[in-house]
Amino acid sequence: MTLDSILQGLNDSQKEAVTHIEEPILVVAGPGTGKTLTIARRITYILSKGVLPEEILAITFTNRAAKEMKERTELYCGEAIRGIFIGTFHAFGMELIRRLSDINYRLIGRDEQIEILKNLLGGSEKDAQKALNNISRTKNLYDEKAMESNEISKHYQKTLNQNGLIDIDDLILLPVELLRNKERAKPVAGRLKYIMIDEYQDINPVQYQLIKRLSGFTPNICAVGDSDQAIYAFRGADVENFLNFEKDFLGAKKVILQENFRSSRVIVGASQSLIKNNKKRIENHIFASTNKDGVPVKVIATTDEREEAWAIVREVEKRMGAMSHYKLMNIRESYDYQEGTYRFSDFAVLYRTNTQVRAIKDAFMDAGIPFKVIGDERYGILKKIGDRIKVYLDNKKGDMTLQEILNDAFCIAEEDDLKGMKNQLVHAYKDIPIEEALHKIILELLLFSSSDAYDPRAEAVTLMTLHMSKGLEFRVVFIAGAEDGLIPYSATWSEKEDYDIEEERRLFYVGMTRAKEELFITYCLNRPSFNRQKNPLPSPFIKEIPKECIEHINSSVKDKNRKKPKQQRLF
Amino acid sequence: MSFIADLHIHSSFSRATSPDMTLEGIWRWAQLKGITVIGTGDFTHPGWFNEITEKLEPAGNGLYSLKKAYLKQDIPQSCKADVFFMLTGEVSCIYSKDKKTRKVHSILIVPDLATAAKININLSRIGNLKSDGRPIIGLDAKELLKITLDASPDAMFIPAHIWTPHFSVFGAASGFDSLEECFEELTPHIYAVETGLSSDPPMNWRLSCLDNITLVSNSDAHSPAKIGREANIFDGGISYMEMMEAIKTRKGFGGTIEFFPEEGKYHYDGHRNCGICLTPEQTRAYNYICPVCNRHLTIGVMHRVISLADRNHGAKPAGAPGYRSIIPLPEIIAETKKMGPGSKAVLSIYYKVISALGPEFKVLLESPYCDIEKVSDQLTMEAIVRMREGRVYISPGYDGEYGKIKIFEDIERDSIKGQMSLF
Repeated sequence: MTLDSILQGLNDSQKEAVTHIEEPILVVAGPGTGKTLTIARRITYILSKGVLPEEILAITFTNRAAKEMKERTELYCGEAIRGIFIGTFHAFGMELIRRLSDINYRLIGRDEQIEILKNLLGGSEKDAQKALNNISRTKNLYDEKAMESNEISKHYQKTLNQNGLIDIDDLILLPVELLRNKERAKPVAGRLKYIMIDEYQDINPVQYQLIKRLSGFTPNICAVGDSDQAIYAFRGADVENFLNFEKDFLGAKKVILQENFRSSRVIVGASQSLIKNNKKRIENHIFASTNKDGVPVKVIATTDEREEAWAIVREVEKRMGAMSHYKLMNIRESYDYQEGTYRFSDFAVLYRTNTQVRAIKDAFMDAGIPFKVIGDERYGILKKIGDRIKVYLDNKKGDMTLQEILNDAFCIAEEDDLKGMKNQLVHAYKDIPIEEALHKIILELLLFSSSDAYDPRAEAVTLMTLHMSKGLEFRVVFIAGAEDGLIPYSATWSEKEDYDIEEERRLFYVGMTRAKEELFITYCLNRPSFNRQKNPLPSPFIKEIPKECIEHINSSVKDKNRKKPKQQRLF
Repeated sequence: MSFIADLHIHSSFSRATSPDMTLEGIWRWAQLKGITVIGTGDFTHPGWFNEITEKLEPAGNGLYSLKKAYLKQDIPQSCKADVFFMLTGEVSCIYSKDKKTRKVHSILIVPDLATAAKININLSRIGNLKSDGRPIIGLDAKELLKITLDASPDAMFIPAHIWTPHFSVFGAASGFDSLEECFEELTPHIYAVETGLSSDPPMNWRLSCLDNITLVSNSDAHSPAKIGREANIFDGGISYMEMMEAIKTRKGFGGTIEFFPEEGKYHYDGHRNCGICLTPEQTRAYNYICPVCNRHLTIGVMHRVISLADRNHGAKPAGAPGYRSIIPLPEIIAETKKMGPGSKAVLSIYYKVISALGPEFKVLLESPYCDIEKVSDQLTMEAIVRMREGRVYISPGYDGEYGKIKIFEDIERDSIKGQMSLF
């Protein structure tokens, strides 16, 4: 690609971020400012300077982000994408261990970790979990002292070492150790010339150590991120790393992307007013690319969480149009539906805690609207059921029917849903040879139990926590449960330290800035299901949004729609 | 042999349906109506699927029968007959294509429970099958067609009530202008379309693109009494494969039994709440805006047919199967008695007539007039004469409001009654 076409359509700060490649650089990328596009063009630009793909490294925070970055970059650089390492810290760590270590380690999962600790402690599952969390924390915090001083931790690590095992945290910790040895580090040191790290505000101390080691090989470190979107303090991430980048990497340049291409002016303005109340941040002034104001942020007060869920459902229904004939008989706004352009996947409902999802799910279920819950482990048990079926397959108990095997394998499942699924599986496969049937059933169950149990072709309303929403965008976003105590979240009933108001504000900010066209903020006047005050106050964050950006709606009136549909006519 | 089939109904697991839509209830009413093959409806619903596996058994012809234990004896001797169930379901696809919201309902017909189960397993990763017997899923209708064909090459996919404005492949509000726009390269797998209550074959004959597509008609019943208000006539063997072959080739497909399309609830344009009912010409004159509330009018089936038609009214493609138009018997009795079609008096006459003459379809389509008069009265007989001759007046339905049948002027009714008393 020519330089012109690489820079085509970029604004000045994006161009600077793309072309400034020979020094440390901090790219402050606010929400919707074209971060992925900028990184993709930057990689293409580096390649255009004759750099080999193998000399480029791009680290992302999640697999999803890695996939997106690969796809976007491939559009510009084509084949070369295969040589470039684009992946998560863990994937990169795994690669380093493979290249730098003589030992052929085996990575163990959480179940195995717990087993080892149970043996060491001779204690309960609970104790083992507690110990594991502790060990994981010290590894991520790169707390060498704590690692040394803790007997269990030491024994645990010894067991791992003796058996050639590593755990997920070692994927980063071990490379930090391996890279200490200059001689050993050579194959990597000579190769890496350009490094990019996405979501730099969310890196934790051990990840920081790894980056510091890498920076010994090349000065061309590009950190991309946004201090206003740092939301992983609870995992040991430290936004200070981001704020200190210029001190850490001498001669570093700072570029701020400020043009938001995603959201309406109202949404950008409202979210900026909120985040400006934070002290720990890099000052920037995000502005909307569009000159359209858009509609005001709607703040809906509801009586309880059931009513809140239905208020959300009704807003989705208004935009999707009637879902069935009997609905048409009820809702007369349907006269305006003809020009609809929405799909279910244009909507997302965000919440602070997973406990909030039940009421929302129930309402979508009752309304018959397709939805998916991100991070839902509803089907986790299906993998276990699959494993149980595998046992039959391996033992080849020829005298059992498919029905009997499934009855037995599914006995660990209690929900009616799963019993229904068993019935379907029996009918789907009872007419083929049993061995083949069992193989197919195991595959079916695996599809359900994978982290993405939803068919990618399916359009559905997305329900997820605010944390999970980072990096995504939707035409219409609902932030549910905007109540003091929920967001900002305060665990008044436990002994945990007080919440970090700035972190909570950033979380709210992340939620707000997911919205392209419309943002709804809902709260309840009663929420008795929580171990806290029954009548919460609205989140103080609502007050931080300028009045002129908000339209208040009181939805605590009864609505016919929330009831189960009654029969329309006499038959 | 000739027999009648209704392949699209809903169980009590669907929304806004009668609790009497059980397998036993459907079995009973199929006999009262004179239907030999009836769809189970709702095979996608896990609860209904369980009922099906529990109460039905393979009949050996790709269809299913109600197990002996569930057979009831409360059927008039004159109506008793074999009833076969065909595994059917309806799915509502709501999705976006070419930047427009699309809502397309489709009927799935499958040869066996294994195929049904395979489709269900696939769909349960896409949407929630248990909240409605006719589930809403966020899936492109073309993908649903693919899933259906992948489950079994013998499965049949029929776009449902294709003209209904809000939920169909040609619907004015959220449909397409052609089958190809919706199903693309899979369009050749569409062998039939369901015309729906508000259109009849002559309206569909105006589209040459439907010449090679079989026009089927079903009741979409939500309550037992509405079973068979539209249906199909097959001339051939009673088996899944023969019936599917008839639908594919129209050989052995004897045409359809139809509602008068004016009686359907989306025949004309208008606004129910505003009391506005308009012909397509009037709607154009009002520029598609309601003169009462100034919002977009709900565009009905006739309007949509005219927009997509490439032939004039009255054209009939060669070899097109025929049709018969009916008014359900309870409605006819209700009209003669000036009572509601669900009233006890009407139902008691209804039972009297079918107990004497045989199932409703026989009464409506075949019974000699003199027999009808014998078991009812002259007015009822006259009503059936007029129905068979198409001499009925119906003020057309619009925007969800059923059309209103008028067989007699009040003065006529009295004079016919008067003649009666003279003899």
